[in-house]
This record gives sequence, structure tokens and C-alpha cells, in this order.
Amino acid sequence: MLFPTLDYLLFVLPVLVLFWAVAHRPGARVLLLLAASYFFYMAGPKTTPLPTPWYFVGLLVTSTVLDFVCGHQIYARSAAASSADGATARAARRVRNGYLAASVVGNLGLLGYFKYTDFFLATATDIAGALGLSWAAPSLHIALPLGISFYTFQSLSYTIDIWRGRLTPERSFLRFALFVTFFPQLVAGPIVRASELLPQLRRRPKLNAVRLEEGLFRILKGLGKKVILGDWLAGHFTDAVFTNPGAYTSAEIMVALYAFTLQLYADFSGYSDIAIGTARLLGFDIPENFDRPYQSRNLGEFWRRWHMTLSTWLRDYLFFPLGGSRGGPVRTYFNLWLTMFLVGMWHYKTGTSWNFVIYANLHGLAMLFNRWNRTRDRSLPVVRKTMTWGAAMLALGVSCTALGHVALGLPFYSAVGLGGFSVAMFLLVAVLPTTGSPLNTALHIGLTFHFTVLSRIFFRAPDFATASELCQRLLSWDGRLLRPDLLPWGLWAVLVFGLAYHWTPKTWVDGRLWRLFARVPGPVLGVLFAAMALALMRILDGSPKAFVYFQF
Amino acid sequence: MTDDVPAPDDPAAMARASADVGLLDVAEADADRVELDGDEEDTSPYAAGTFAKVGSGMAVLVALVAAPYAAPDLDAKLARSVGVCSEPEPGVAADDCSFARAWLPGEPVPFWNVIGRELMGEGAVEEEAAAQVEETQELAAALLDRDDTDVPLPDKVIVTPPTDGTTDAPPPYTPHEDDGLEVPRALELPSGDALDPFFAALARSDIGYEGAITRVSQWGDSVMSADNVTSALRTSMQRRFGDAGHGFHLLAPPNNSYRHRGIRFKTSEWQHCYIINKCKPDAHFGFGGTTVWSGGGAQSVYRTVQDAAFGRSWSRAELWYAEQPAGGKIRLDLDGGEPTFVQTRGEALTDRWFTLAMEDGPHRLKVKAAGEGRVRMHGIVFERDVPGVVWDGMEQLGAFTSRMMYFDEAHLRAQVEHRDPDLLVFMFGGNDLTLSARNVARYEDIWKDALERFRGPADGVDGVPARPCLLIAPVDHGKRKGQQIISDPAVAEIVSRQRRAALAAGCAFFDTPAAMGGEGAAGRWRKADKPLMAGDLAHLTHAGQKVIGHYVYLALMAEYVAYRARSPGASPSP
Repeated sequence: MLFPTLDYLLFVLPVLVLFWAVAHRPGARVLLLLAASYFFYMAGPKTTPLPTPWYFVGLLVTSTVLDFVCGHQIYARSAAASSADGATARAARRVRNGYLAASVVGNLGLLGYFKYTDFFLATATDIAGALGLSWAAPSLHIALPLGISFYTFQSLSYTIDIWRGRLTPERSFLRFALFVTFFPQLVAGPIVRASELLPQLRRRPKLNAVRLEEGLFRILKGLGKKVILGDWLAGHFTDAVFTNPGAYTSAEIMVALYAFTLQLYADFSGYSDIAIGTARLLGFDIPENFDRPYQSRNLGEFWRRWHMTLSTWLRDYLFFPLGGSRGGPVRTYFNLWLTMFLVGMWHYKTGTSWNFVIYANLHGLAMLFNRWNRTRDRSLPVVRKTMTWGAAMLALGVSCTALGHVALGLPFYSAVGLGGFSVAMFLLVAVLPTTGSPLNTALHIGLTFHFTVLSRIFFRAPDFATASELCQRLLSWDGRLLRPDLLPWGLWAVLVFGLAYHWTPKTWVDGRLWRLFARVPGPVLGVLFAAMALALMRILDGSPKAFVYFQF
Repeated sequence: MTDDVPAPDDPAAMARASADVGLLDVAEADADRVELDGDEEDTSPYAAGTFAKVGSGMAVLVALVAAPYAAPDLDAKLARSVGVCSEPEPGVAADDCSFARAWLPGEPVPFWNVIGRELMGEGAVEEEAAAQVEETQELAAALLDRDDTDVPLPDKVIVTPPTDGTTDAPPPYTPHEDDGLEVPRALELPSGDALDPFFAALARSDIGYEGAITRVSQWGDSVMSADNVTSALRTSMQRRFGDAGHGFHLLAPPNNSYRHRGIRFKTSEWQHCYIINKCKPDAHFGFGGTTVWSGGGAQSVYRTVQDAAFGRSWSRAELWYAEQPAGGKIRLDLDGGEPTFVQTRGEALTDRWFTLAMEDGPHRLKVKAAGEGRVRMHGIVFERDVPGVVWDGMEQLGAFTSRMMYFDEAHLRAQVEHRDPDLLVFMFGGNDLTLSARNVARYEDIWKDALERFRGPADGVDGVPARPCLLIAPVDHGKRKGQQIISDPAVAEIVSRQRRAALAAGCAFFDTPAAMGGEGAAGRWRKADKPLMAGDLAHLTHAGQKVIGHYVYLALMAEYVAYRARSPGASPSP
């Protein structure tokens, strides 16, 4: 079910009223929320393309049962696993590991099948073609179950934390099922860990007048971001440019990239706001997912602020178990690259294969650079520094040129331009002090922001050919400006306001605007929401766009 | 674990740390074990006042959402009363003025995925329609992929045509791999042989007779913008029959959307008049509907392309210009060699042509107004001396069909006769959807007059039949109605009248909305995973235009194959 729809309004209002009536009764509230969550998953509105059929809920049930059973089995042998008797301990550990493996393989296997089978088949076809073989793997067009990328990680955190001894199992299957399917964040996050939500589900929901108003405020903020800054830009500008970049000038493509950067943030953070606000109305707290990410001074900080629940999940359940930064430099850099590569590949969408491989590697390598730049020895002798840097820059330039010419199919001069640009940016970031004056900070923020803007070519382009064309159009700047009728003035205002707002102090919204909102009487709030609903109906393109992150 | 990185749950340490501490720059924190035990103790109801404010807001919200349903058309009447929506004209479909009802009858029911799809049985029909759109998307992707190549097309082996028409019979028709493809929508013909002269020319190109160039000239409105539909047809036809050149190109773009594929083009400083602006009293707008002029200095540069299968070579460039009193000189620079000058001074305004021959291959040509008077030009044609097809694209952005009547009749006739196309194609109608009821009523007469302006009377002149022609209907247009996108009701009316006009004039007709899938096609094409229709619900995306071009190509080829089958022994005379 999509948030900014009549369906959600018809669903959430009665659910809220019924929930508030039974919130003080543990059994009733779990049953009500569980039924509501399953209904939310199954009974969405008609969209184009069609939503996945309701019976895909079986996968959700499968994942729930699997992890509930595995969690209990793992915990049941915890004492034996630390027995003084070596044989007993070993046997117990084997069984525990077996159940953990079942949980991991089961969950990731489902995710891998539904999300990555077509990717691997397409890659096999590409490799066969590169080897001169005329063989094409069949395209299976596997439908992606809604939210699988989110609830899979969510329920895996349960079994892994039990295995690590950081969590005891939930006795109630219904309560555990509710944790997995909790509707505010079921289909597009924030990813909530078992240790964060299960304790709340066992306690009386925190419901008071202030928290309810906070929930409404977050929902209103999220709707505004999602529809005005997200859907409106997409429907009236960015979608058209990314579908047919050949019809736009280089400058217009650059504006579209800025617009998509805003759209993506507004779309996803708006959804998170609505999810957090709805959870607050139910008396629960779920974690924040965004923290003004475009204010980041480097890529490391960016991923600490963007889709925080995913990136910290992979940090805690992949990066640290691999050894984190505890090993030698090679191992540390490998762990860094692998973690960020998987963060990037998590965003893979069917049909875009190599785009996300490039996107994932861009961010992975940028993270490596970030760490290296922060920890490098800056006291090397001048001669050695010059020779090292010279060789490194040459290697970087040649690599980027080769990537552009061979992989992206850019004309040679454009590929050389790409190589030169990459070297120039590398040097600039490396030379700039990591801390210093406000101007230095602004430069770092500007460079980081533009790295994310340009990497979004591979995030958004519908296929590799379009991504290549976009790169080519930017590298071979045509010198033409923006056409006067490119955007109506309202969209220009939205674009400028949306980007500028991102760099304003958070207190302007979370402080001043919130205090203003809190003073508004209840009936006026009702009128405000009705007006917002009417505005959304007029703005939306016939029906709302699914959240960008629904595709993952 | 390194000592210099702070734990993630220690905000103070994080703040003190280096400014660029990132996601993976922190040490793993020792988290406390979370014990999921103990039951809550407080099961008392919440204080009623807890929900007072939010509850009152919700009640008002529900009342306001439900209010428009309190009386029929309440919100539509309100919109009309304040003038934001007009009363419907007699005989014209009424605008939907309802603005505040979140759900309208006829729209998908709420919770459609369970109720509509399963309980009301709508799933099967929707899945079939979705499957068709997916097939169309795959077709678009395959066409784009097929044409995204820089491997040049091989030229046909040139065959010397029989001169006496009786000795050597032409080789029998060799089936083409496309002949087995399903034709989504067939051409509608006024008679079985309406396009035979065109097919005869095509057959000569197909066989590879020396000098057998089949020329097609297509005019249309913005649906043809950026040369997408015409380049799709050009590509398909040239792939099958041979690349005989790019065809017609303007000297200056009349608008930002003028952009042709398969040729590199830069221009500067021309003054121009575009036909719909009716800015030339002499009504000599040229073959392409835009005439340009300069007293000196303006120039256009053309270049063959090397990164595509087509457009890699020219054998000749034919300049279309106007001879006129006080006319100046045109300078032609081919590949940086010795310039050629064309004098345009004459007694009266007269259409003229100048051909610059060159060796078949890649070239760069600069056309410049060289002073000594005012130079006026209508366009340039690039062709090759090989058997094949040339498909001219003359997009008339924003034009109603009736704007074609702005052409001076004799001038247009001379332009068409000089070009001598084997087929005239017209793709207007998108702008005609906004015609008043009065003009819709005389729409067939508008078309009759426009077709005569281009090709003369439908019955021909002095025993010479009129040129074969094809009308391609406008694409389906969408209209938002609540949550849905329905087909604009005006489309069916315009298409129906175009069909009658085409068949009455002896032209073939292609029903584009039907080919797209009929009612609701615009919405389905718009909401496809990779949209085939643009957000304005009136124009196709590049992928959508590729598909329509392919559909028209298949329809033409089905009739071509039928022509070859019913005249196997006939030797198309040169």
C-alpha cells in the first residue's frame, strides 16, 4: 500500500482509532496490528505496473516462521555452547551455527533469487557476448516481492543477535510476526532491528498528546517532501530527461541531475518521515533514516547520514564480523570496499545490471579514498611524495580513461576528459585540509555533494546505454543553455527551495515550525490535512508514484 | 580495534573526533544484551484527553473528505460556479470538473489488490493488458538496441535493369526475415492497388537496380519532433532496402525541438519564417515549411556521422533555394576544398535547385550566405547514388492540418514535383484535437484541401494518377480523470474523420491508437516501467516513437509483400 493514497487514509484512520481503544490490552493490540500489517501488505491500490499479487505474503510468512524457529533453536543451545565439556560445547555450537546458516541462507536465498537472478542471467549473457559466444540467458522477469529487501534484513537481525548473545528470543510468535511485518516500515524501511522494536512491542505504547502531535507533524512533513519535492519534480521533469536525454542540452541534463538528487532525498526521507510519524501515532519509536546527508563533508560521513538504518546494518552485520578495521591495511580496505559495494548493489533494480555495479564501485572506492586520505602519512619526503603521487595520478587517469572508453563506450577524447577530471578532483580533495575554515568546509561539502549528484547518473538511468549517453553529454559539453520553457516557475521555485532548505539549520523546521504546528487547534489540523490531501490529488500524476525505494 | 576511532554510541567522543569520521571509521561498540522477558504491568486505559486533539482533527478530516459525496456533483458545481471549470458545449464531451472527490465511480476500488483483483475478478484482464505493454516495452528495447550500432550497413549489389522490359524477368521476390513478424495493425486501403506505384519503386530498390532510389516524404506535427518517428521508419526501411541517404534537412531550426538523427548539423545567424507563423507574404515556405534568409554571414554546417549504421556517406547534396531580384551568392565549402558559388539573382521569385556531386563517402559541407545581396533558401537534400530508400522528415511543430493551406499552391506543387517522392506521408492530428466543434464538423474537407495542395486532385490530372499517400493517425492522447488516465474522447472522433478523408482521397490509412492498444493506451504506455509516452500524455518517448515507426513499417511491408506476390512475373519498368 502506498502512503499518499486514499487507500492508506481509509486504512490508517480506523486502525488508529481501534488501536487507541485497545492499546492498553497487550494481546488485543498485537492481534490488531498484526492483522492490519498483513492487510497493509496485501491490499494495495491498483498501480501501473500492477502490484505483486497478494499471495506473495506467503514469502513474508515463510521468512517469519523460519527466523522464529531458528532463533529459538539457537538460543536453546546457548548454555551448552559454553559448556565446560568440550564435546558438548562443540556439538552445541555446530547446531547453533547450522540454524544460523539456515536463517541466513534462507533469507538471503529468497532475496537473492527474487532480486538478483535476472542480474546474474543478464551478466552471463554479457560475458558470453564479450567472449564471442552467441548465447543469451533467458530473462525470467521475476516479480520482486514488495519490501523483501527490507524485511529480510530486519528479521535476520533477530537470529544474528541471538546467535551473538545480544538478544534473547521472543516467546510469542504473534509478537515476533508483528515485529517482522510492522506496517509503518514494512515495505520501505527504516530497517528496525529486533533489539529496537521487540522490547517496545512488549511494553505499553507511549501515547500522550505531545507524541501524537509529533507523529502528525512528521507525517505532514513527509507528505510535503514526498509529493511536492519528489513526485512533482519526477513527473514534470526528471523522468522525461532520463528517458530521453538526447532531447536536452548538457546544462539541462545537469539541472536534471540536481533535481533528481533532491527528488531522491525528498522521496525516501519523506517516506521515512511518514513511517516514523505513523509509528509515533501508535506509540512506538523507530530509528531515523536521514540526517541532512547533503551537508556531509566526505563520503564516509554521507553514508553515516543517508539511509542510516541500511548502512549501519551492513556495518554491524557485515563489516565488523569481517574484522572491520582491526586487521592490516589490505584486509581493512577489502572489508571497506566489500561493505560499500554491497550497499551499492543492494540498490540494484532489474534491467539496470551494470549501472549498479558501477555505482557500487564508485562509492566503495570513494570510501577507500576517504579512509586513505584521513589516515595517510603526510610527512613523506618531497621526492618520494612526488614520484608516488605522479605514478598514482597517472594510473588513476589511465584507469578512468579506460573505464570510460571501454566500459562506457565513450569516444576517446571524452574518456580522456573523464580521466583528467577524475585526477583533478582526486588532487583537489587530497590537497584540501580535512578540517579548517568555513570556506574549506564548504568546499568539502560542495565536492561531496557533487560526487553524489554525478554518481546518481548510474543510480537513475534506466539502462547502461542511457547512463553512457548521459556521461557523454556531460563530457562533451554542448555550450547550449537552458531553454526558457524548460520548467514552469513553480518547479524552479520547488527545486531552489528544496535544495536550499537542505542547508538550513534543522531547528528551523524541527524547532520553530514544530512549535508553530503544536499551537494549531485539532480541528484546524484536520482542515490542514484535508487541504494537503486536496493539493496532493491535484499535483499527483493521476496516481502517486511508488516510492523510489519500493523498487529495491 | 584501533584506538583513534570513537565508539558510535559516544556522541561526545564522536564530536571530539576528526571532522571526517565516517560510517566505517568507528569501532564496534559492546552492546548490552537485550532481554525479552517480563510482561508489562500497567493495563489501565489511556486518559481520554490523550486523543482529544488528534481525534478532533481526524473527525474534521473525515468530514471534509466525505463532504463532496454529500450531494451529487457538489464539487463540480462549485468549480463551475467560481469559473475554474466551464460548462460543457453542446455536442462536446464535458470536462470532469470534480476536484475534491478522492474516488470517482469507474475508478479502481480501494484495496484493489485484494478486492478488485481477486474478489471482483479484474486481475486476469489487467494482467493481460500489462503483459501486452511489457511486450511492447521489450520490442522498444530490442529496436533501440538493434539500431544502436556503428557497424555500417552493406550496400546492395547493383543490378543493371532490363531496358526493353521483355527479356530478363526480374528475380523472384526473396522473403525477408521481417515477413514472418506479426503485424499489430494493418493498413486500411481504399483499393487493393492504391500504393502499387510506391511498391513498384520499392521493388526496384529491393532488387538493387542501378539508380533505383525510392523516396518517401513525410510531414507531421510535433509527434515527429526530434526526427524520432521518421528516423525509426528511415532506419527500418534503409536496413531492408538500402541506405540511399538522409534526405531533406532545413538550413535552420524553426524551434528547439528540430534535431535530425543520422546527421551532424550546426547553424548560425539565419533569419527564418516558419509556416504556422505565416510570416512570408509570398507563402513560399519551402518543402520543409521553414524558409531562411540572410544578407551575408549566416551559415549551416553539415557532417556525416561515423557512430551509426546510417548517414555515413553522401554522393550528392542538393540545395533548394529561391532565385529572386537582388539575390546574393551562396558559398558551398565541401571538405575544406575549393568553394563553389551559387548565384541567386533572378528576374522573379522562382524555386531553384543546385546539386553538388561528390564521391560517395564521409563529408563535411558548409553552406554560407556570401553576401552581394540577400540569399533565401528552403533546405538541402543529401542522397547517395546507390539503390535504397530515402525518407524525408518535415516536422511542423504545433501545426494544425489546416496550416498546410498556408503554402502557395504553385510553389508547393513545384517543390513536390521536383522532389518527386514515391509516397507522401502525413501524420497530423495531435493539435487538431483542440479544434472547435465547427471545425471538427468540416475536418474531412480540411484534409481534402490539404491533400490536394500537396498532390493535386485525388483522381489525378490528365490521366496521370495522383501520388500514393498514407495518413498516419495521431497517437492516443491521455486525459487524467481522478486516479485514472483515460483516452481523450476527441481522439476517436478525429481518427474516424481522418480515416474517411484518407480513403476518400485514395490514400492509405494507419490507425495509430488502435495499434497502441485502443482505449486507455496512453495511460498504459505512460505508466510502463520504461515509459513509452511522455508525461504530457500527448507525445511519445523516443522508445514509443520507435515502436510506432516499427508498426507502420510492418504494416507497409505486409502490403509490399502482397504486391510482390500478386505480380511475380511483372517486371517493374525502370
